[in-house]
Amino acid sequence: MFIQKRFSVIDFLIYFFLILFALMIVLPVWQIIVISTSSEQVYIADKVHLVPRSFSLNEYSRALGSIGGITRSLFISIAVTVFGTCISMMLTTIGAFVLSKKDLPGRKALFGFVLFPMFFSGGLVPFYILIRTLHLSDTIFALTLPVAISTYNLVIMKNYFAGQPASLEEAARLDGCSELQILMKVIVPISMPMFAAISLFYGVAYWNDYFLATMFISSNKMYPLQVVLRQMIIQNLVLSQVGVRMESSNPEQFKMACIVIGMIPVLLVYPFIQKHFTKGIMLGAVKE
Amino acid sequence: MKKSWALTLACLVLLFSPGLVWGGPEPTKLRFVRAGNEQDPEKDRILLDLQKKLNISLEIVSIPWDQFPSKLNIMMAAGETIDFANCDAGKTLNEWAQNGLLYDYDSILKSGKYPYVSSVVNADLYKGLKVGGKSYYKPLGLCSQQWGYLIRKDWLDKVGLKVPTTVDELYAVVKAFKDKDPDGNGKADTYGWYTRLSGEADASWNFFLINSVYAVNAGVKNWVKLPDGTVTRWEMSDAAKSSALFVNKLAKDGLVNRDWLTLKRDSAQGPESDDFAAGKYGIARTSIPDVFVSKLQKMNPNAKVVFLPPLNGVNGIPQNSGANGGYWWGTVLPKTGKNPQKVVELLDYCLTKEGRELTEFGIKGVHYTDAVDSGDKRIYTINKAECDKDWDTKKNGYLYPLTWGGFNYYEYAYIPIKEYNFNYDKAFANVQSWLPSDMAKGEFSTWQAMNSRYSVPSPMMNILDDRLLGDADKLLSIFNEGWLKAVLSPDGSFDKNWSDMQAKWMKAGGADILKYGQDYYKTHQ
Repeated sequence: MFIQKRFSVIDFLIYFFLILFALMIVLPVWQIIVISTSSEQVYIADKVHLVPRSFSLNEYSRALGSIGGITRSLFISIAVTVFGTCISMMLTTIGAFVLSKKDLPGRKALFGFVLFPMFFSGGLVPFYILIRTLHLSDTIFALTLPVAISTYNLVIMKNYFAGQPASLEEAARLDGCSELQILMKVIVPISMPMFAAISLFYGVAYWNDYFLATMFISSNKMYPLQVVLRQMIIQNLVLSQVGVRMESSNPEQFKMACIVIGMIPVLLVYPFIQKHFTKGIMLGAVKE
Repeated sequence: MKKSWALTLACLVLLFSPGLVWGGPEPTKLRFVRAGNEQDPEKDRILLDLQKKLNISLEIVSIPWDQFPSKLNIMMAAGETIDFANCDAGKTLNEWAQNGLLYDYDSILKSGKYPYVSSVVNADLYKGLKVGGKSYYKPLGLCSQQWGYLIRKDWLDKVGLKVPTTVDELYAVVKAFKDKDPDGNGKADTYGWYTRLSGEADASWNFFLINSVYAVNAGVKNWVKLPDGTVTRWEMSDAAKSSALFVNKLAKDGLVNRDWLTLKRDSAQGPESDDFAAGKYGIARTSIPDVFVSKLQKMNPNAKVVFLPPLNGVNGIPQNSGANGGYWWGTVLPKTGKNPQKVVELLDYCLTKEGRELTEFGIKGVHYTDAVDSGDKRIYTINKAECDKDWDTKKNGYLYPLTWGGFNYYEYAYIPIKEYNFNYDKAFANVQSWLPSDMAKGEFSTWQAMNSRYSVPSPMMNILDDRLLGDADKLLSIFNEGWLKAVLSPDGSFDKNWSDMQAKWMKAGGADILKYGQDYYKTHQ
């Protein structure tokens, strides 16, 4: 029988605050898009920038048409993100799987060894000297290898693995699986939602990384997208400070166009990963 | 037989040694560290030309602007090879010099082979930048004042007032711009005084036009000359108090834009120029007047804007627009570099007329076709298609990116060092504007020269002695907090708030700075 629920005041409040919260996130993004695609006159005359009253891709063409290498930097960012995420997921998975074994000799000491650098680092200058000595500067490896394992992600993954029923592994072992096979054929397939989340964390971190690139990349040809976009924005600022007149672009609109260019690739990838978050984790894996 | 083999071998070695094959010695490798660069020494025809002329092979290490100081510091600490680098003057530079990390220019300049660089580092203007009596820093000259004020002439006409020349006239104009509907749209939607304070290092800087009425080059960290011939810091001066009191009056009368405390100042002056163009306010401080004016005229073709000269000072203070010390950044020669002599040769060449022309406009016949002297300007006809091939003109315009920063200086100009017999101080006072033809148009094409006419340095400018600064960040924060409290004071509490700020400032180390500065001025003036 269909029972019609009454829409209570509490429901109204919940919807109200959820809509308000959603608007707090959506409106600024929408405003950024409207500003970046408005003509200069409309942008200046408009006060709220919520309704598109004109359409111009002038700022996008400036950003993308720059011979400073925005297209090249886009590919570098993609390479860093893809390679970095793969290497990070591989190393984190192996590390977490090993550390999740309660009978591993010296497990506590090993775990402590992994945890220590989360709180204490060796300092920036030794880090810089190390990367240079290893001849990693100006390569994609300088942007990926030093941060390949995030302790935070490793701890999440380790706890997740430790929470899996032991009977799954025992069953696989009885079927003759090696440890690596257990990891690849049993643990990984049932952990896809967690893998999706962690790889998203890694992917977004690599995509947004700015600091490592500024420290270890000295060649314009190797700068990732975020550095190039920021450089273009700051260049406007420095030029104005020393009085260089640039009339080809509106700095505010240009800034917004750079934000959109920087976030589009992540927005495109997100829906494909998001579906994994909602899937059941252990559905049908074991009957006890 | 053996002899002939040996002879043949020797001939081959000689033939293929680079010196003989290319008719000269190997190019000297120079590693240059600078911020925000995108020139490619292997492709950029201007850099190729420069390298060929001086027989050098340049490697440019570029660091994003906002990470530049920290990365350069790390590179220096890590002992990385750097032949020359741009950096700011101040505490870090002093430490590098004192710790023996830099070559001094003096020993290289002894030979007399580099008169241009010598004239710069030994200029009176920059003598305060020496560390322990030696020159470790070649400043990159920047006109003595690139900031100035614009005012809406059509608004002045509408409210029946003239361009203000005194602080009282300014008050009348600000009030009329707020109350008398200068844009004639029937709404009270204009501001008398417009500013954006959030994120500002020196809060009082936003009111420079007013500050400069009471002191020369008024501002935090600067020194003010007193009638008895001694000096005091701006923060402790009566001048700062008088100026703050005037701002207090503007704020109390509701003449400043209401959101001035929350709006963030944008160094690229984007929102400032947008609001000016939208007709929200009529008095603007800027370093890029053409951008303000062209935006405004796109919105309102009938708008008329004129230069607002600094106001007449009180108590013998001249009309002044301050001074930036005549430089912005400079070049150092780290000892990890092996060729300081060659670097100085490069810097020297870039200060010559030929070198300047090459680094500002490129190669004659390629990047520009013609150059014509017109009054106080030299105007270049640009070949835009060729410029587009060598640098990012969308980002930098049609001035080669080494026009500013990099090797020589920041002006769109030529500093005639040779013409003034290598007297840099005189040459710097007689800079000739060098402009591409499309920048040479408009009322404000010589803006920097226009402003520099009123440029007056404050006492002890360009002296890099840490004891004159003390704990600069802490003192700045005390001043900012106290200044704000005072200018926002309701009736009757201004004096108390101001005295509280001064007492705190003195207690936080200001007293020592004052004593040291006053003694320094007495002995060095």
